[in-house]
Amino acid sequence: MFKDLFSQKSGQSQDISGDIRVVGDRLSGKTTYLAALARWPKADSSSLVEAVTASNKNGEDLIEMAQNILEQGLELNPTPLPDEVLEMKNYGLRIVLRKQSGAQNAVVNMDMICKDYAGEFFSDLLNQSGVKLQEYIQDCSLATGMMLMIDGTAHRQDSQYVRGIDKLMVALDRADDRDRKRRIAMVLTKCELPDLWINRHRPKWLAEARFPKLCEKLKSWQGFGAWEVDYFAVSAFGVLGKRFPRPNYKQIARNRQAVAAVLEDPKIWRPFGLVSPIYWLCTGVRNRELDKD
Amino acid sequence: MATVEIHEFSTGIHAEQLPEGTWRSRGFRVGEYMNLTLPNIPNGVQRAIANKRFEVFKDRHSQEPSFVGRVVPSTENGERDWSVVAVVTSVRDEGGRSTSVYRYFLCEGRDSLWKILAWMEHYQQQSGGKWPVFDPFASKKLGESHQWNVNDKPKFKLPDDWQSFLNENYTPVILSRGYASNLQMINAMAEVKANGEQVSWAYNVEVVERPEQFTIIQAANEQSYQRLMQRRQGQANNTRLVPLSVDEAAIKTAINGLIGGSQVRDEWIQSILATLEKNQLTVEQWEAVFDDQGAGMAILRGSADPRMSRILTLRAFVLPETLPEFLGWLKIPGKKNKETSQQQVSIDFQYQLKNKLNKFEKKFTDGINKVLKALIIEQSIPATAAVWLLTEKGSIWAPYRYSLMEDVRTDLNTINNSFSSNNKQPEPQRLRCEENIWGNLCVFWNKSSYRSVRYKPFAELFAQLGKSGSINEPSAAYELSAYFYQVSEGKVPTEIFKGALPRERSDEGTILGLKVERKIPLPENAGRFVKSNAKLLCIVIMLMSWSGMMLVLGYKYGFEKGFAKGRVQQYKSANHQIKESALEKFPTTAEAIEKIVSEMTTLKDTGTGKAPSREDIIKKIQNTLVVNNEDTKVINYEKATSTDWLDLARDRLYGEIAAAKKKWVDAIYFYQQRNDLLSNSGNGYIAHGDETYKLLKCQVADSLEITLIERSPICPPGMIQKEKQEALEAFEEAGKTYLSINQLMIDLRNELSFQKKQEEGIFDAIIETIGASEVISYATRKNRTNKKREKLVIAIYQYQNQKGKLRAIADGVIHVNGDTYEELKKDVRKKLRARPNNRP
Repeated sequence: MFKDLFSQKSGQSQDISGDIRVVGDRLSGKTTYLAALARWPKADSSSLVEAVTASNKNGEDLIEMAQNILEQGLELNPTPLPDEVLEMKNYGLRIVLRKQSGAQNAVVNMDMICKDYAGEFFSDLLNQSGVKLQEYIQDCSLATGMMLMIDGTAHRQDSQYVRGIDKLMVALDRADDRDRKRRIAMVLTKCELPDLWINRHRPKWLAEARFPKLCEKLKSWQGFGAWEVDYFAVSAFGVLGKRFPRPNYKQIARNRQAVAAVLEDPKIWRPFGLVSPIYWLCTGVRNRELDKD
Repeated sequence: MATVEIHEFSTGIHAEQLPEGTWRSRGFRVGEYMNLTLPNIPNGVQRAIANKRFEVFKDRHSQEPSFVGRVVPSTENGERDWSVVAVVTSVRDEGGRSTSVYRYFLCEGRDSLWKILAWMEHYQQQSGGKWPVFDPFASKKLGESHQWNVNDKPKFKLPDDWQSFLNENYTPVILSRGYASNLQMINAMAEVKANGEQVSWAYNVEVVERPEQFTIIQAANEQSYQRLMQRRQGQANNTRLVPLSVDEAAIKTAINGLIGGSQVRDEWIQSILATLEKNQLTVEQWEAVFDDQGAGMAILRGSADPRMSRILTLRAFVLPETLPEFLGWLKIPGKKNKETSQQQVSIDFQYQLKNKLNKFEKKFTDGINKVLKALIIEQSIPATAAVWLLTEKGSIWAPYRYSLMEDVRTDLNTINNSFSSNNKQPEPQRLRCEENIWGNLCVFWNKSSYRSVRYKPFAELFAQLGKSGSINEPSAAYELSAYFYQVSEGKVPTEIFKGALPRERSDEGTILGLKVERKIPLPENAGRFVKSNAKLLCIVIMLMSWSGMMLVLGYKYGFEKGFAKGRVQQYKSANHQIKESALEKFPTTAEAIEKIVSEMTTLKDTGTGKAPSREDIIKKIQNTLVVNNEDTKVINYEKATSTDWLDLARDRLYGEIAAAKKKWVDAIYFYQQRNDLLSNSGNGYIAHGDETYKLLKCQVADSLEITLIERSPICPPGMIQKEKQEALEAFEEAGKTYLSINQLMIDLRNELSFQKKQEEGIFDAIIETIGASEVISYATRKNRTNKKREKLVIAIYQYQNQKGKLRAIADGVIHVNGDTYEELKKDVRKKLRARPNNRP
């Protein structure tokens, strides 16, 4: 058994891993992003992403929930932020990528653990309130990388986000006694919206145009050498149509005040850029293939 | 009349007042409750909330609250019992998302639920029919508890048929809506049903995650009644569920903390150790807890995630039987190679646990015993893995190497004494290690010409222990190594011999009653020979040059033999007596093999239409009989059955044929043992039509991709290991097996215009069609273990094989919209339509 397993794996697959925290304001699309990732559509055989699978119970639940959320329009609950940081869900997912070079069946297994911090964490940061903030920061400091999810349409919040992220970075710097470089991926969500969609292939430019102060702050932290920063644009829903794209979602009324979105046509669902930030967070290398449509 | 105090607190949220007098949520307050009337929430109540004892799901569109009542026993000395009633409602936030919020009321004492309910009823009367639901603006201050005057407890006389209804139903009793007309009624029923135990009930709820944590549940509507009944059914016999008396949340927090990579905290370790100490969880339940965090998956497909290294390390301590599996997973390379990152992470983690687990010595010694078994009997891990475990600095198992050596030494002594005093093997209870570890050694003692390569891993392990410098008295380790070299190879390498018997001047010595012999290296041997036989040597050289050809041949043969011997290291020997009689029956075996060959050549391969050659079949038979393909070269059928005169002549000289036959007997014997054939006592031969014959035939047919017309029930489903492994890996992948079944359920629901609540029937019909109803159902679908996945994969494979057109693509996987998917859809559709009155 030992021998069999060994010979089967070696030389064929490469295993990498990452421990990621998803951080962002309330309603910035964190859980929708994770649901889309978990429900990965294998749209065509040329896709570099071979499969997304669960590697623990929370991951299985996420995949199951994703199907409901994206296709059946079941409502998404806000993620509760538990009293104990360790009671928070760890979504264990394995993303299998085809290797661009090498043997025919060679694959890259990306095992990642992802914690979806409730948006309240971000607001607590902004207000420096919340009795458990310190514990959350401690937990965050264990991660290999952080995904900073920013609603692409929330550019009015630019100054506010600068304050939040600055506080977080200072806190993380204090919390971790190890001297190591951390990665932070600034991820613009909801890029199926027309203004964002047309610029999806230049995420850095888009981020700087929409969130100049935040990007400036990230750059200055990068300058201190403690952080590596890169920019990404993602769309959980993708678009319909090539020449005259429109978001592949329909809005369903929830109540008088708000609407929810579900996939309009699940059969031709092509989310955009979901895996790219994860690959970069895990490896430190940007995989241009994953930025393609 | 007495006055009681009713306290309260609520879920913490940030609320925003809206113009029309309503409000909405702007998010949770993390780790905070609001509107508290007491300074600290009692610990027992906090733990009950953490363990989701109050968590219920309600219809978010309904304004009507759900209620949960529960007696919460004290968890700490000096703390009191509390009765708690939670009122659950839905709120929405600015994004239109809804979530449940809780307003808890608590009153001291086990028998106080009725008091809270009486107060709530009074409140409702006073406020025009409104319940005291969650209200962020009804601010309460510390000490502002509700004072309530109570009379004697009112007696609710339950009608006779209720009594019998309660008696007939097992806990949790599920009530349809309206059965209990009010809260006092359900509470009274729960008190009857609980019969002195802690009362708990849920009133007007949609779903609860674990129904068994309540005495009585009343459903909010008919649909949820059905769902609750199914859920209860699904969990009734689930032995993997953690019992309610255990603080599962604390265990999960501890495991999450320990594997997360931060500094290990004592409270986490305490929480694990306390559970172990009180023996609160079964092996199965522990496994479930670890599997939830991904342990099972990590074993199934390997993982580079450092968390997995830590969780498997922890699991190997908690469940010693998983230690060999963990060592196998680590893929420890030979000593010359660099250690893997998994090893490094595990050792760093073990270093942090050091000295904190000492109380559980038995966990370590049990684990080491399992490792010995894996080394000797199952041969599932290499000796290097055990060496790493016992010598690596920081290993929590390493300190127990002394007791291991002591146990082995004692057992060897016992065996020696037993054989030398009455020539019998010792009684099992007198041995410290697991008895079957020494099975072959006892055969060895019976017949000293016998060697058992099985013990070679011990020889290597103790040699490494001696060399590692981690043992106070290396000679003790070398002694054991020498002992096992003698047993497995018949000689002891010089270095080991000198380490074991440093004062021994001759080439022989005695260790624990066993005569050991030093293996004299060739140059030394030659030197000695030259010294003492100088004259003779001259003559020999002359003779040799005269028959130079012969020398070359002889050397070549010797080399090959030595080479083969190296390969045989892992080779296993059968019990001596069995071997003798199996050798006599070798012609029967040969007959059986010929029979298989002829059957295979007459059957046509369905795929290619080409019959396999005799050579192929023999090769496959040999492959099937041995564990490693490398061993195939060792069992040579043609040689064993050769009647060629040259071979016969050589046999007379070198015993080649006899040796080949012996190897065959050995291979068959261990094949039988591995596959639990002949009630697990191998006989070393194969007769046409016997169990061994049948199984071997199936397996050979499978590897030749021949479909047998008649498949003996003894045969495993014809799935080769690699295929099964691949199908298992694909099981949870997007667009594959499990999610395909889900997708199929949705497709059929839409197609046949069924309602969402009928999904269960569709799901179960799919599973029934696959033929796996016993493995999984809609109700138990979330509880998917590796074993269940495997059974389902095999069932799918068999389903594919039953279908003529799927046979060629049979892989145990269902791809969304693939051929199997479509075929299955047809079958299930037919099945569903066939029962018009009984639609799902």
